[in-house]
Amino acid sequence: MQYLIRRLVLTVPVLFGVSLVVFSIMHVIPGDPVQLIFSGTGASEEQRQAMRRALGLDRSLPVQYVNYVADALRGDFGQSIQFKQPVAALILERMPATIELTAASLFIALIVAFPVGVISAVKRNSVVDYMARTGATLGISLPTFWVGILLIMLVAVNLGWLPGFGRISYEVKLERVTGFHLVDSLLTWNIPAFKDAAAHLILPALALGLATATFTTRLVRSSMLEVLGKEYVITARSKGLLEWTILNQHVLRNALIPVITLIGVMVGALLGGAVVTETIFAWPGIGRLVIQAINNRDFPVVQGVVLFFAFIRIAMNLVTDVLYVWLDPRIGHV
Amino acid sequence: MTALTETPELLPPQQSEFRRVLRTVLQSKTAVLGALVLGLFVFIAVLASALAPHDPDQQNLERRLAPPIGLGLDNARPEYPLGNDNLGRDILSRLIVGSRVSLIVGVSTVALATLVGSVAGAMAGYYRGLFDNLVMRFVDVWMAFPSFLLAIAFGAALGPGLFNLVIALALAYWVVYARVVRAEVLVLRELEFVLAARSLGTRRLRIIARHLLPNVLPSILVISTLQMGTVIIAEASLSFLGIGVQSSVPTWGGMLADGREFLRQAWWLSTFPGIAISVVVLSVNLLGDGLRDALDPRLRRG
Repeated sequence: MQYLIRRLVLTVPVLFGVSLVVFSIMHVIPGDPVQLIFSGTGASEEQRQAMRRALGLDRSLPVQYVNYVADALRGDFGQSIQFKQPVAALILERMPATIELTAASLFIALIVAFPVGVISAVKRNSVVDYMARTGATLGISLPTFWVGILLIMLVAVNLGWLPGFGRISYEVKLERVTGFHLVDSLLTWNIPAFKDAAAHLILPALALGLATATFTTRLVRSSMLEVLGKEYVITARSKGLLEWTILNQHVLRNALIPVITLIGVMVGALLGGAVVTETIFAWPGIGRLVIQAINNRDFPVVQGVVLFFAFIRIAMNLVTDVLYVWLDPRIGHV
Repeated sequence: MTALTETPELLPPQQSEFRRVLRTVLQSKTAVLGALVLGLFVFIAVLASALAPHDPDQQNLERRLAPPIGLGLDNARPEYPLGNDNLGRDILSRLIVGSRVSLIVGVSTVALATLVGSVAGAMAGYYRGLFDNLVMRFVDVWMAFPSFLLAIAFGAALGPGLFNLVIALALAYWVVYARVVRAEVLVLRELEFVLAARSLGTRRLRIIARHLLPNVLPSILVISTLQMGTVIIAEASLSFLGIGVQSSVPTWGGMLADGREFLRQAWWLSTFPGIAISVVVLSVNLLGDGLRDALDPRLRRG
């Protein structure tokens, strides 16, 4: 509990720094935001000045920053220039799509990485190990967007097995409850919609999850090898314990806990990758939103998304740190 | 007295260490393969304008979406072995010229990120105290952002262009060097040879430059090589998203983006640049793995 509180307190300066970085990014942008808002409207100089005052852009930078943080704390992340809507609303509306995609990718990555990594370490230098290591090096080297395009080209376009664009078919009707298509379709017991949404999810989740899967396989493997070389494992083996018992009782837990703590890092990488994946698969999430915003020079939205992703990342790190303490009694007293 | 103010030059076994590393790297077939492919890539990128058989920007609407040779498809011509794109431009020539951006951005970004990160990390680890705290809090904040998202945000804020792209990517990826270098310097600064140099009155910057950084170099080299792959992918992704260099310059990421609309009719448009990126990144990673095994015994696994 004490650890949790200390950990939370340590997050405050990071959040403060994150807001400062995001604020600065907006202010290094060449060009006047008011110019952007009024571009092509033929607004008079008075109107521009009024807008500047309304947005607080006539104040000094420190005052603007304080206002920015105060607004952000109230959940106000500014107004989108392109959509004429609050940034927070835009992000919240698209959040379920992004979470659904990253969660599915993380799931794929973990169910591939754990068994493959464990087997590859236990049966070291076997065919499985060799294949896993080759696959891991290959997987890390393939750019996410290229994998996505290949999947669309082969599975969606040529074979026609799975849809390659969007989140749900146009003709499928689904009532919005939580915004998570898989959850909503189950809640309203709409099985055709569930199948359709799941089919749409497979290819983007595969494309996004591949890099994380390979990276995690490497982690699991090296973590397993480290624990397998520990004295207590050698002791257990010399006691004549069955190999399975040793794995089960002594190795797996100690080897996999450090990997779990890296889920925060994985989520960060997945969110970064989601920007590209969502663009390729026309997935209506936050990643696609930020690219649209950049193309339309809609910087309040860019700023809001960057801040939001950093929040998620910080929250995930917090959760995994607490999970670590909870799972590993050795560091409970820290 | 001048002899005392100078740091005594110990005779480090540099030559033999270098040979050992070289030997270990050469023993790994995959690392050698990676180095060879990488060498070929650098060769192509440097001589790109001489090697490209056609002007990469020359449009030829008669050969719009013409296929590559060897597949028995109509309209394939040996002068255009990899086919032509949606404007009839020669894909092979665009690939060759496009390698330049990948190489320039990859090398300069990693060099800049290494420089900034290592200096910040070394000074933080050596001076400790307030400066260390400042740098590390900065690093904490940076780590809160997904790196690629930072690259996108900086890229968008700075605007298009090769120089801005390098700055944006270096800003996104420098922290890893700061962390690693600081951690190693924290250990090194307590070792005898550093204490000896300090007790001889060697200036602190000189200690950092002459005694600490050379010892951190192996780790830096390993991380830089492996990160080169990440940066090349990031550059391609940014170009793909239209946030990279100007769209008039051929890049592999940009070619992939152009080919996206023609997946059904002309798969070769996006297939060849994708293969090019993957092969280069794979060879960088193979070389990086080999270097890591040779230079960093703690990381030697497998």
